[in-house]
Amino acid sequence: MENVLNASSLRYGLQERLIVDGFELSLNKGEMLSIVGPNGSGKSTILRLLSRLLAPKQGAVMLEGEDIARMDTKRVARKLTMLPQTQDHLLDLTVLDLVKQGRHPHLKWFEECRGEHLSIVEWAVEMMDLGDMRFRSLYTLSGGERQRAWIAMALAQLPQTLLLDEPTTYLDISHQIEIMELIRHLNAELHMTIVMVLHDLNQASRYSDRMIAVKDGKIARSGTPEQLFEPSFFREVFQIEASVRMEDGVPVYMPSGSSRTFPPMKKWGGQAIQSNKKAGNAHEAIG
Amino acid sequence: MKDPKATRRYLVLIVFIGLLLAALLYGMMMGSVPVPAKEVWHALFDRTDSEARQIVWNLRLPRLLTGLLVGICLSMSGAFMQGVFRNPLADPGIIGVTAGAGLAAVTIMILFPEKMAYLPIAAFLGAVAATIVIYAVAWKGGAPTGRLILAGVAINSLLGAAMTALMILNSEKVQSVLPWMSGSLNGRSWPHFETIAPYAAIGIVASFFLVKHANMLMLGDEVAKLLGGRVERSRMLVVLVSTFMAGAAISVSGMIGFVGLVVPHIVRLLVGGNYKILLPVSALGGGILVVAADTAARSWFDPMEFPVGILLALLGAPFFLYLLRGGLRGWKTS
Repeated sequence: MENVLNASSLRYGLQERLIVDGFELSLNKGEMLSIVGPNGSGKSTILRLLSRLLAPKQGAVMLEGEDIARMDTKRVARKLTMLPQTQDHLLDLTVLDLVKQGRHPHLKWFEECRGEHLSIVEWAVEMMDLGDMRFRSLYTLSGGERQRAWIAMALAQLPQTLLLDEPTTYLDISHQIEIMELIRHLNAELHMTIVMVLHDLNQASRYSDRMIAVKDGKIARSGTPEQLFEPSFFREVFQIEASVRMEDGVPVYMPSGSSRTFPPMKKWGGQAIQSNKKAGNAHEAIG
Repeated sequence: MKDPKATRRYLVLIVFIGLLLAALLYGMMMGSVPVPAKEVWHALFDRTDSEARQIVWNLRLPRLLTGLLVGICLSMSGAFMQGVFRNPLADPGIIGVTAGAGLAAVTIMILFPEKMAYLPIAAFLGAVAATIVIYAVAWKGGAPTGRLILAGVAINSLLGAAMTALMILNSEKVQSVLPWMSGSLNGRSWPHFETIAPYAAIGIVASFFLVKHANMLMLGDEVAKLLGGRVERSRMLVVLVSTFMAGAAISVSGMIGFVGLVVPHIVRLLVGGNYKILLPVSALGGGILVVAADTAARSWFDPMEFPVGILLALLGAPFFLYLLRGGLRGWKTS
């Protein structure tokens, strides 16, 4: 299998604290990989290192055998791109103008987005079902529509490798599944290699060939969803108790509790709170 | 499918060109000696020695054209700043243009009044120098916008303090500084126009090469990098050209504020945020505003003359607040 993206012993940190401590990756063309892990485990940082938004303190990222840090910016952008987490900046820009930006790495500095470039933009717009909104301004769209517009921009770049940072967070479930199906479609039809950071573990299981679980900047577990999904995995990485079963050939989990035990409750003032008014007073006294 | 707003954008462009021509004509007609439109035409195109030609050609036209360039430069500069800093409050003042030009100009006016002829060039150099200092202070392997803004605030207050100190120590000369401080086109003539014209021309031409850069920076540093943009280089270029234009404008007109802030916001409401159209329409809008406001400042209060900068702030601030109540397009203001 053709290897597209490689990372060896990546280390990254601010001052002394390491956020990413020895991340390894060997990604094959056409693979769908998800990176999962608790909050603050370094997932997004890993994605930023892989997309060259951050430079590692140690280690290197190789894109098709070339050190990504030494490659021309535009050349990287023609092969690989990332969709950062939901964009909350409300731009007064039409969907079409945004998606056109995706052609930037393919255009020379004097070139306008015309001809074939424009057909690719239109393709990306249709792909994301944004045809009716192409002249709408971004700030008039709903969160889901806006997310689709940003994905369309990344698509217009026609990257061989697409990194996605929590592409479904903030979306309702119907949009989440729509986006995940679309990512799978891109992977199946265009053989686009996909790396995504996901919070929903069942979605990760359903939509990836391989999963990497990160904890404290280190790889905790990695393998196929079948290999990973077992009670001890959820306990070690996420501190939750969970049962696992197979559904339609895909392992799914159901949490049954937290592995953490809570400290005993204190009764403020030595007695149970009696009335709302007193409760208010008690809070004031504390805070 | 056609862009339903495309027609509107062309319409806005045509209306703005019309308004600008009307403002220029109005400016040539109005004043202590009114000149009818027909005579304006003769004065412009017949090389006679009439009184009308004297007034129109030697007095009003150069002042109008200077105002036009000042307006164009300030509003284009403001449009760039708001995009680069992704901040609705950004204007050329944020990176020290106003404070740098101000300190240099006040130094000349108070300490070296015999060198008044060098005032525009000193103000321009002051503006550029202040920007370079702010950029250098903010630079640490790159200059992100947040650090540029903070460095700008610090350097601006430093320069402002120096300027105030200079004025307090020489309070008897402050009177001569005031019109410049509030922005005025009083007595501007062909030499002033010739001073600003080459800088403005360079700035305007350079601006149109920066449209792509500005459009990309607007999306944020991360996205711009992912699109293959060289963010630091683009930002520096755009800031430099903005400084250049705003510095050129302030050096002949004094501290005219508000144009760079208000005009791009109004234009955004009309044509959207794509720099390809935002920039030329902002240029026209700035030109119209300064030309019209200066004509009003000069003729409505006859025989008094009002500094155009004050009039702009008096009219601009309430209008800006009105816009703000409706929510500025593309910015989180609610």
